[in-house]
Amino acid sequence: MNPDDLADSLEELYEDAPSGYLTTRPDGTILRVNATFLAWTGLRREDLVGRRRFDELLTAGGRIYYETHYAPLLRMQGTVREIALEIVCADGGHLPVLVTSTQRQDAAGEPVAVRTVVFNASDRRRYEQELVRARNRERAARERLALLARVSKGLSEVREPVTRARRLAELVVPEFADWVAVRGMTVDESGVVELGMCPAGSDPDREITLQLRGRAGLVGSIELRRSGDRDVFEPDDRSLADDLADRTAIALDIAVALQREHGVAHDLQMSLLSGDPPRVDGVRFASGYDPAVESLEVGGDFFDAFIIRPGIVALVVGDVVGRGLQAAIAMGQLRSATRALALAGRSPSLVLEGLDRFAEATPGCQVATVVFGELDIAARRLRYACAGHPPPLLLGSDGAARYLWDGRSPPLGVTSETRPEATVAVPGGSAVLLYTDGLIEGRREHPDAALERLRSASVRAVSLEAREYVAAVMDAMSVGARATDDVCVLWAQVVDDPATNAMMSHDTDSPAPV
Amino acid sequence: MTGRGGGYEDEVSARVKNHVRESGDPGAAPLLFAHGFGCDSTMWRYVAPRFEDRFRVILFDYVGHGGAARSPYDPARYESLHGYAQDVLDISEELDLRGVTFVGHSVSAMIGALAAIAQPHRFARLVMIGPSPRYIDEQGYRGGFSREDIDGLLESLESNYLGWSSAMAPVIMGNGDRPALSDELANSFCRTDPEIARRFATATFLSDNRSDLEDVPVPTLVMQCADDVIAPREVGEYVNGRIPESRIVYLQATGHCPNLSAPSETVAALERFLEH
Repeated sequence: MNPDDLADSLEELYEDAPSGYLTTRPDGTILRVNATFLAWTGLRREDLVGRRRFDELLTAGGRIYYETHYAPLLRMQGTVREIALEIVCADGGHLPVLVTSTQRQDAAGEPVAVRTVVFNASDRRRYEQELVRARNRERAARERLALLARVSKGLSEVREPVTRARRLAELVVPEFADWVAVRGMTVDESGVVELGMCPAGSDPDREITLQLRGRAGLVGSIELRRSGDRDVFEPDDRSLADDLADRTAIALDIAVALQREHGVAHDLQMSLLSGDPPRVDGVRFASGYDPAVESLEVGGDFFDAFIIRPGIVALVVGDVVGRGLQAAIAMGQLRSATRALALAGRSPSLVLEGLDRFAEATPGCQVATVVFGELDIAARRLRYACAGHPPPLLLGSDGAARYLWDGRSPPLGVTSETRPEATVAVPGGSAVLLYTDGLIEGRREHPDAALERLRSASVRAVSLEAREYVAAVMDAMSVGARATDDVCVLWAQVVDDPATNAMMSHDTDSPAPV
Repeated sequence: MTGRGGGYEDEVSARVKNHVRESGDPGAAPLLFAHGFGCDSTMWRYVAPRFEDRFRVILFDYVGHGGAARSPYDPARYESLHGYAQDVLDISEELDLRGVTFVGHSVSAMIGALAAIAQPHRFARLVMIGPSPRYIDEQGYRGGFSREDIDGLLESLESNYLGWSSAMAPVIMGNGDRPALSDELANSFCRTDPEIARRFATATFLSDNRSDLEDVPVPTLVMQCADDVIAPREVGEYVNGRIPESRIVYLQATGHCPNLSAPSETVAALERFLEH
């Protein structure tokens, strides 16, 4: 075949080129258009040439794009490449195209015409739209994950069931839904937490209702709605809602369990602390207990006072590690064990050694601290031993106060050594103060400074009556301190005048029920 | 260079943040040119220089556009046109401008109106080129577009990342006007972070500032092109009719960008207005 036969005439090349050609005036008015463009679009030459501007062939959105981007760029650069637009065809359909234009200028640099090449980009555009959709899906997935993470974090930051339900509501409205209702008797007395404006009418595509299932079964339900001007819940949204419901159910479940446990622990602790101290001739008692404000869980602090044998009373203050139900149980056990050992007639050091054995075998009692004292009223003498506990404070009848630093050894269960004990004289009118470390902690200060503060607070309050005295000391120590730990105090005073002892013992300052 | 200490958006110098450039007579009355949606201050290249002999000419780019900083960019601030008006006010305050003649193209016409309403003492005159207070048709009002049309525009933006790619972004940000770079980029002007462009488009085309027009406190000139699909003649006349002290001039230029397609006619109309 003669190669010349294959050669296109320039005219044919223009008309039947594999891309559309247009020539326009600088204002876009079409001067010339090739057959390819007409075939693609179904538009007629006689309707275009001299009658329409190129931008008028575009979709409305494309027209804005043309005016705000394409035309300015062409004027400034002389050329614009690869702009994605859509031509509105004769049948109303849209033809995705890529457009490249070059501006022809006269000698003075003024534009006289624009040459435009149009590529049919249907397949490419489908592919690009796939990419855009994939990117949007990926973005949406990331946003969903972020919301889920925020909900998990938010739920863990609050404790009560109702505050957890409210937190969930605040996190999903308005980001995920326009209205939410969390229902369940465990949520609140009213049984429902609601947030947002409930859209009027019913639209199944914009509603999600899910059960909240906890470990022990149904704990409630959650309902989410979107208003009509918002997108429907897509399958991905619904699976996110499933995850949200799961996390909410677990969070409510745990919150309820914690609340229940807290109640039990609190009841147990109160029952152990509220027993009346004995009425003993010649001794006055006072006690105080302040739970930590910053923790909702009960602590493991305890005090006890009981008659070992006539004329001899036991004074005990202890502190079990940890909080909550476990700590309350351990505290109860340790308190009973102390009584059993003391009533068997053991000396303070042997009571502690017995508690060591007990602590080794009893969960939660390890590393507990205890101070145990045996007050001989007639002999005006205190035998005492301290297992890792802050030292007792002895308040003399003369108003002086000093710490009892003898008879010290490590906390329970950490030593198999023999425990030391000490004896100190307790003259008539003097008193001994036992307390847990909560009384002297909570401020940023050196332990020595805290002990000095307690000593001077005790001295200042010395003229007060038993109960007022304990209250005054506890108040003084709590000023400026963060109540991060429970505070437990036991005070015992040897009455000075034997003649009044009998009288005093009847209208006694018994330790206050706590 | 970063002004009064870094860290917070408010503390970053507006000169840097908005790529402010000054020319002309520093002692003369200020003429502040503001670009519209889609491009940057290079839009004024054929117009602004013609005023340098008589005015203190000031050009700038909105945050995220042209040579302006991409960050700090606060998406919430730029959700409405008031955020862009605040850019104008920040610049006016930092340069301590008084008696400003504000020349706003396209959406910047309304942005200038909002700035003048907020701080009338800084502005003397307002020039609105192709203004529209509301692009979407409503009962009793024809803006020229439907909500669906605007969605179509957002799609166009999605599929046209003009001269922008994440690989080029750092280069573009660091080098405002390097010619070598322009050669590499097919479309070197009007480069905008796609996310920022999308927000500007939404703020622009979904805005409704019709009720602000009657509060415009300064003498105003509306420049109306022929065959402007974005700001049709009846919209320009609506604007002219609502602003208390306004006049309108009809240009022979067609399209939406007379500052590019007919700079001489634009300059002449501006000059006539400024002579008053």
